[in-house]
Amino acid sequence: MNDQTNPETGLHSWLMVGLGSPHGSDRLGWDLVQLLQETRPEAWTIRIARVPTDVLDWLEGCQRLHLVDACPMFEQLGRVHRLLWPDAQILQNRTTTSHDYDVPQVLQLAQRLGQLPPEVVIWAIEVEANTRLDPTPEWMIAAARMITSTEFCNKAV
Amino acid sequence: MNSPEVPSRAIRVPILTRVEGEGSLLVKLREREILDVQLAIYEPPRLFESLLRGRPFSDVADITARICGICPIAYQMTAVQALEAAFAVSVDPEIRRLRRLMYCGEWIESLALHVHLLQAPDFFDLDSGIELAERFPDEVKRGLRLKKIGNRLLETLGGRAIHPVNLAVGGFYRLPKAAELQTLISDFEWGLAAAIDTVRWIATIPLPSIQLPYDYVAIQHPDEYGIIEGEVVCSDGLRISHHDYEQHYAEIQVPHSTALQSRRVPTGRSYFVGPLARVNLNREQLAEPARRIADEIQFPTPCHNAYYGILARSIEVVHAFAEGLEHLRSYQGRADARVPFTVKNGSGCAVTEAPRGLIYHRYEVDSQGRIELAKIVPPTSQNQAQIEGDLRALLPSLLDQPDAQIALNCERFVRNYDPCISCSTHFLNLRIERE
Repeated sequence: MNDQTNPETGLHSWLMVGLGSPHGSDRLGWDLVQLLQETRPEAWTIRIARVPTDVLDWLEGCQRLHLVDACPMFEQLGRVHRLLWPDAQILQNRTTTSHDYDVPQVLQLAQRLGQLPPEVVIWAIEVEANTRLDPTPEWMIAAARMITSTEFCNKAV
Repeated sequence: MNSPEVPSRAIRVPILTRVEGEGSLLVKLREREILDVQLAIYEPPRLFESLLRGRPFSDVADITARICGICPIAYQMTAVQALEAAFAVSVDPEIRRLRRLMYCGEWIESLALHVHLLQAPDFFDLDSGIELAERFPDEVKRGLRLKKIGNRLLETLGGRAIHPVNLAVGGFYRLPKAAELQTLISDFEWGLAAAIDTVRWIATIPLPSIQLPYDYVAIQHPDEYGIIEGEVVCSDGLRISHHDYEQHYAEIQVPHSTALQSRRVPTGRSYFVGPLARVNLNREQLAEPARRIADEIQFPTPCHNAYYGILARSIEVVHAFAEGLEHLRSYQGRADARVPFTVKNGSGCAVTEAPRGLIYHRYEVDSQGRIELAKIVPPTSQNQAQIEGDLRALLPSLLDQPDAQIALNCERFVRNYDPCISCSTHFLNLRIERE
């Protein structure tokens, strides 16, 4: 697979972003993309973001944007949801977030500005909110495997 | 106080929007009498000062960076400079210039975000940046590109975009190569011109008219626009060394908020920190392009209209690009990232100007370099009492409006201060109670 990052411009055409913070279960997005980093085909650029608005900095030239985030609607720890934007579930379940710009708002803003990549996928992983996250638990490794097998190996979910 | 004859009215903003963090606003009224205004910050206390006790001094910059995802440099820079004071370390001019450059990056990303996505929608009666983007797509794209350049600089100097790791006591852990910074010059040249155009755009927006008496407080330095050091000056004439900060500005606890509120000593008066305070006090030291655009748009000085904060922020973005460009062009690279120093017991304090206003840190360190005491005063806790006072002054002009409109107007007013509620302990809910 060829590297999809333009070496001259530094633009990432295939971009996977882990969303989160250093605090508790909110760090899931960061930890999970860290696991993906180890098996990442070179075509993918992997980054972490503290707030969804950070993603707006990286959309120029982007063709595939995948966001990995903790999903606080907790029913089954580690259950993975692959949501293709625009997804009604996400639009209906808005969350309070820094500056009031959550993932749907940021994607809507990008769309309004004509900057939304053709493919936008949100990987939402169920986790209990405001809990301590153990380092790389089995369910996180399984979630990483699912993303890897689906996106990196181009298999169907 | 409840009166049996006259029913009271409570207006609530249960969650303040487009601010960093979570908070709420409660207004209690009896007819036209304002009984109480409470900016309630209900996030749990974050206890960073206690968390630092017993830790090695070298951990402080990394831990304090976690206080805020939006302005980590302000916390890191103030922390390392306070520790340098404790260890009697003086950094050389080149390191100092790089630190100012780094701060310029943080001002650009934070101020540009606030101007375009957080506050500008208010002045067009729009609900969000998405609606603003539909009406002003080119202006919003420009604003986001400005912000991106600020972040790119921070990533280059800070080692990474999220919670940068490069600032160290004595200097930096690693200095950039000259070529790394030179690649940013063309972006900064574009950014300077774009930031000037942004000020011209903001100046066309009709801002609400209000005049309130303010004690503006900011850093002032004889040779430069106050950012990383200087005396603490107040618009009423008080000029003090930062060493005397705690004798003149003290934090108090209020029952309705988990954040401390700073007030002046001994009067107990509230005061105002941030871009509007800085431009009022230090306008003559703005970089020439920023001074010129402030003159061109006839920015009033003194300015006692908090809504002009958006103009002050825009002017400071011009300053940050102009000053940043100067530092980028002059940087030649160097070998030594840090000046040597000896760890010893002592006490040190520092003040810098975070994007949202003055920030103060003081540390006491033992002979092994472990933190014995940490005191951190963020900008939002300093502005909190002023916000409540301003709302008391603003409310009489709003009382004939329906509660929902009062709530909206109060929330918009609070955004003049760009409060970072996460720093001060996150978001605002308005609640109005009418007796």
